[in-house]
Amino acid sequence: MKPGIQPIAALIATSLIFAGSACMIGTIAVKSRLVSGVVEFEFSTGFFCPKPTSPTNVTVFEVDKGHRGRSVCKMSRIGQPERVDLKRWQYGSTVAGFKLEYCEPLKERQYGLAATEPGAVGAIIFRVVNDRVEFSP
Amino acid sequence: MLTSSEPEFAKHGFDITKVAFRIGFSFGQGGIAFGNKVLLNEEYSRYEQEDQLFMLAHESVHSAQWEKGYVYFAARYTWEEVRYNRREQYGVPRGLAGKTGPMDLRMGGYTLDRLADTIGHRVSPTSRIGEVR
Repeated sequence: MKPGIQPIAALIATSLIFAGSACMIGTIAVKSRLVSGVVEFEFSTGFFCPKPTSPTNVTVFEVDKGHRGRSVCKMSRIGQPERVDLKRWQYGSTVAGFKLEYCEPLKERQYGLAATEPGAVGAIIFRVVNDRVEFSP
Repeated sequence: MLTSSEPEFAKHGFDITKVAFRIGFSFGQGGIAFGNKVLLNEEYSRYEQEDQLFMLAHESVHSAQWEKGYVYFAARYTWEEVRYNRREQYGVPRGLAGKTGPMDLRMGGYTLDRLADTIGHRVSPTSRIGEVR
């Protein structure tokens, strides 16, 4: 192999390795904020995952000393419509195309949210404090 | 957690105990496999238990696919990444759902991710990461 070809071959090989390994299971980025006293979650495509995401299942659970506790709210997509985008969700609200299975009122404590869809997952830890939502890394 | 799925992987001629899992940096992915090394992101412990199990099985299938030929795996996976959208690339194919016997983990007609989802679904049928469609 000519010397000038080697860096190009290395670049192609590196690209192949990365592209061939990307998005094995992607991530859903989750953000949260308080809107008129209600916690609102925003879902978007995770970093490094160019394919659009939209959760089909959302679960909110208690967090005790960093460990996952019991589930307090669960919402799942009904059936398999071609495309039901869930970009935003206000805690406890119903969304067309989804079934709210159960949902308890939030208290001033730490919670987590896990969202899934085929091929992607996402999670966030948050705490509702007075008029704001605090995040945990 | 994955020990219970050893027989499922043995069916396909793959020793699941060879796979090493690590939680931490995962290149921005939920899970990513490099041969027999699987990286899971730091949020892993926050996911539903059935989703955690599904992810372990899904990534382990990629390890098995990788073991049968890395160049083929990388080239095919790259092509499928480019060719298909998320809806087509992931999910358990209806034609494979419900079957329990051995199968070719690189068979044609399905994406590598759909084949990985099929085994993930066998191991953790209630996970919504790998729904049948």
